[in-house]
Amino acid sequence: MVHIELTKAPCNQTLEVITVSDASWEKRFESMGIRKGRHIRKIASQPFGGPVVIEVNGSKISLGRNIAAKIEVEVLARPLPV
Amino acid sequence: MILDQWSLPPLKILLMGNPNVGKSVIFSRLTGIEVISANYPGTTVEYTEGRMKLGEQMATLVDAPGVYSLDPTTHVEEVSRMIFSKGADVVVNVIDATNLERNLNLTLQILERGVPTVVALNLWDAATKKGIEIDVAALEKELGVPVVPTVAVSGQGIRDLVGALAKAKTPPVMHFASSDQRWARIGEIAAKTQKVMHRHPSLFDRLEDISIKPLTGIPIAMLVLYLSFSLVIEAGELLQVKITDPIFIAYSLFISGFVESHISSPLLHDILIGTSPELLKSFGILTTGLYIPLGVVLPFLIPFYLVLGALEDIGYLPRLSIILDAFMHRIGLHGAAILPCVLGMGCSVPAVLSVRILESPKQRYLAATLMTMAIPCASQSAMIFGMLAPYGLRYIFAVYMSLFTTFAVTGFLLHRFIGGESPEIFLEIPPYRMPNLSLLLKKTFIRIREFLKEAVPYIALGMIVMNFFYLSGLMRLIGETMRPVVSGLLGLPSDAATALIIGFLRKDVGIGMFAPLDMTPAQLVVASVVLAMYFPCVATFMVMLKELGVSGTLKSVALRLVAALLVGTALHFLLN
Repeated sequence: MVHIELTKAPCNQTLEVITVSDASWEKRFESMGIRKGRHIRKIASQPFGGPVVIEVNGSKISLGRNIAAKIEVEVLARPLPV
Repeated sequence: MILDQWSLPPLKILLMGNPNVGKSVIFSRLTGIEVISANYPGTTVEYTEGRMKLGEQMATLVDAPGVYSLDPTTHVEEVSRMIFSKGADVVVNVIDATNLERNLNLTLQILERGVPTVVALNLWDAATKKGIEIDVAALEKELGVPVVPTVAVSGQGIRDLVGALAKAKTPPVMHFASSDQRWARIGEIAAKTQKVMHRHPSLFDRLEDISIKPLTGIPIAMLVLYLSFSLVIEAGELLQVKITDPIFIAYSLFISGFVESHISSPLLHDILIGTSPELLKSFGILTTGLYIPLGVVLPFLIPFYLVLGALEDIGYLPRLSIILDAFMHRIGLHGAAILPCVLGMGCSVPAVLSVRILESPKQRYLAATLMTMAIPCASQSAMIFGMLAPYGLRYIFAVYMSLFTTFAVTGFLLHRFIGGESPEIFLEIPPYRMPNLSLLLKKTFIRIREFLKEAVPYIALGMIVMNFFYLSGLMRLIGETMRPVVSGLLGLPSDAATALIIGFLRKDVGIGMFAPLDMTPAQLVVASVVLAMYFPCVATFMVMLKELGVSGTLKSVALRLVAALLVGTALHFLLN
């Protein structure tokens, strides 16, 4: 499967976190529940370089573009149960 | 020696948990101390200490800012970790029942340190509504410490929590070699104790998504802002016309009659009720001194804090910060800086404290400087409205447009010229919640009381200082000295110089002092903008010193003086 940066992933589909490209951010992501193997949903991507908003285990988190780009995901075929 | 509760050292109890799980509400329930709470992460940026009685023993309870883990990543988290590292007899770990897994990550880290712990499973009602069932007994068994379900806003479970404090015990020894191991254990605990039923998305869930998606989120943000401002202005005018003005008209007749007949000293007469019969122009302590805080500002402040409190408790503000993030990014800030800006529309003092939610020193400096310079507080706004409304809305618009442009341009330039990092937004967006009416009213009451405690004495002091300036001839002297700047550059009457100086004490009084000067509306626009920008008021100045340090504050103030002169001069020539 292809791994893409979270910023390039489509909205409203189940994504699986594959890896965090910047090791210094791993801990911070992890404490917010974003870690390898986690299924997440991208809710929105704001225009003009605004943040990406994702849903992780029921909570929503906004991440600036460059922060979101550190997360590599895989698009899973099956949609997330709403 | 008498042995009583006081001879035992007080127990030290520490409240810890993820941001926005309700620690401050629990703190308030346990100690009876009023604290401001809101539905967004980072309401508490400082620790608060309170006392409570636990059986026969006294206990000190510490409310620490929320953290996601014991490895701090932000300034605010650092505070909590420091408090934790000082040790505690009992930790009350408040966790969000709607997000068990992420919250347990911190819980296990606390338990690993071997501190006696009680877990408060808060937001129990919200979890039930979301279809989440947690087996409390099983969770207790897995963690090895007492677990108490609570609903802090309604007070449910608080008594059980107090009972459990007495039973707090050292957790069983646990150690995880890696964070993967810890997460594996969390997965295991969740699987054994939690059942998640499928529920259809509620109205709130749908609203959450549409207020974030740009296509719907931007119009919603504009609508929310428009409705909030019109509501505050309409309600404020209504309160003023129907309630405070009639009271003050009756009062002013009474007080002037009373002073005329009982006070023979002309000096005292002028200090008490001034020389003009008009409430805004007399500058007596008992007339203008009371009319400004109670007759002009208060009618707008009450609806303002009610609307702000409702937006805070619903959880809308973090969504606004997502929508406005891209703009804030251009000026070296990010969306979270919206919070100090919104708070600053009420009062700059709590707003300056709230810049702590920003990660870098550069961002804190930028946010504090721009917000205090270009966002007038509620007292100022009410006075600006009062002074300019009779001449038409376009003058009020001119004041706010000038300030907004200054905010954007200064931010844009500062971001490029000062060094330091501007990290991006990384913020949890809380779910929408129904505001609890009694908490909302209490919060509004606390904020209004803070305003009155601060404003009434300072305004009275401002009146006395002003009378002194006027009677001693200092006012004329200052006016003459400052004439080249005040009249030459800004095109204002030279007496406006004193108003600017008094504005350091209270901005609302400063604006009020423009009233007797018979200025044109264009001059009033220039004067209001310059007064807002040139210097912070003394209360704001003090917290800026605390938050930005001496050199940061001086740099910030020097910048404002220059900017105020530039903008004021430009406006003077543009408007004529």
